[in-house]
Amino acid sequence: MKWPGAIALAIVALGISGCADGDDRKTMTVGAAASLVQPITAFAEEYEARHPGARVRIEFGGSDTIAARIRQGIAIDLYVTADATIAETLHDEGIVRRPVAIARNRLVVAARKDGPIADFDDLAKPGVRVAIGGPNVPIGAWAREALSAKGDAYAIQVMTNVVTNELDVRGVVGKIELGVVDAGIVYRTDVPTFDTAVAVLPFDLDDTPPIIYSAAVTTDVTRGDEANRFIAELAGAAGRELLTNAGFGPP
Amino acid sequence: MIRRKEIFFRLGLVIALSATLLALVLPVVAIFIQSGPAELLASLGRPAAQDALVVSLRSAAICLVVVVAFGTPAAYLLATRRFPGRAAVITAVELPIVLPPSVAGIGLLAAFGPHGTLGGTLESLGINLPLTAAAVVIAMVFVSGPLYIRQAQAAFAALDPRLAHASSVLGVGEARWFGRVAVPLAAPGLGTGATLAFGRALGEFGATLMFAGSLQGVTQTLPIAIFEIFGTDFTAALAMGALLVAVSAALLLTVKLLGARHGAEPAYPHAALSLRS
Repeated sequence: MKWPGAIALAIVALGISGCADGDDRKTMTVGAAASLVQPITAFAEEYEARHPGARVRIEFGGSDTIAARIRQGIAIDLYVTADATIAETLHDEGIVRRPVAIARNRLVVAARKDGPIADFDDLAKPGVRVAIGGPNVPIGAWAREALSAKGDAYAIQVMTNVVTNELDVRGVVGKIELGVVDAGIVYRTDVPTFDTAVAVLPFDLDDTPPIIYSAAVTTDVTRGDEANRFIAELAGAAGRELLTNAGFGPP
Repeated sequence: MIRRKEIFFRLGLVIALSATLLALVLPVVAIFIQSGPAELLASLGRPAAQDALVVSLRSAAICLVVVVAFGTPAAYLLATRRFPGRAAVITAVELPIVLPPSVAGIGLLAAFGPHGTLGGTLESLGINLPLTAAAVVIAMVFVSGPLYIRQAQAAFAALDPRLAHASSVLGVGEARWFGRVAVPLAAPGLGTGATLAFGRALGEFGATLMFAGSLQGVTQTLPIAIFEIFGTDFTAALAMGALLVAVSAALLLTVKLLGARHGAEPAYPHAALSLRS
């Protein structure tokens, strides 16, 4: 084999081996819902500082995507989900231990302050532009449920003002922030508290079933003690403070 | 030694083609293996799938008309003229080919969004583009236009310069030369470019989602409908994927067949005839 060929082969081989993960048994891997990026990242930093030697790696993603990865046998020690029903299903399947509720989110209407929407009635006025999630994504399903709770006629009025069914909650938030729509239905925690351009109108808590976030240790966990301690502190005072600051309520 | 080398070379060719097939063909074939004909027909019956197919085909067709109408003369100009900054113009026109969809979407919003560069101008004209059917077409034009212009420019540049010279000696004006000779002679290249552009427009996803949103029957294209259903109904997503593959494949094949027929005709007598009429 000539040199260029050998070099190319070596590069490919190196590349492939580089992609494969180093099996570091000292690190605990957490798979967490994307909406938790800010509080969980902060919590993990504090956790590592509090417990010398502890190493936490966090993979963020959609709750259903992480669940699918765990089912496929990808090594995750701890699962933190934005949808407690997924954790319950995994528990029934024997893939995770009993889930612990850690926080509660709620649905809000996020409206541009320079726009025409000041209250829930404005949402149903003809000509306003509203973004919600699609019927098949969690945020869209919750939104439809919450609107129906305020009356079918109201829900139909609002639905005629919907100009886009976004594929995830980030899509809804982005459309509001760019002023492409006047308002949208999102989770409370998706609107940063420092965002001065967007006003928040919370739905009543009983407009939707509780939106509970939970955490569970996987059954083939490699860092079981570590994972249990992580959950206990996350559900305890240390985690509570960070979650509250990020806009989450107690479960 | 030479014989052995030959054998290794041929073996290498076969291995390379096998690897290519595995990487490029298997994912497409797998869609059809995993979704049977029954599911495919059932997915065609879904109103969401039908609406999405109509939105996709309609928008891509309008996009193609726009791209060909403006792209053909623009490509002709770029292929036949030398002017300062030409290389920069060509690079700028081709840039959208390599931009990720998120950047394309952000760019379109930054240009045509309510707070965008042209937002105020458009608003004073009473035009609102984001989240409309027009926005779908604009996103498609942005991503597919460069593919057409690139091909068209190469096709015009490949024309024999002696032909242009001869016709100018004969007193044929450039406008007439362009319409009667240059475009017909470049037609196979233009056709290829148009096919690529149409296919790219049909497959457009990210920029459309960001700029045009997703509303069934208005802005929800087939790729977006597939992604939306993917989370809850993998079978339906597969079947709708198969539908998109079938439509795109039929399109590619049609143009290939048309191209083969035109390619059989000798080009020069055709050009001479056009000049005479």
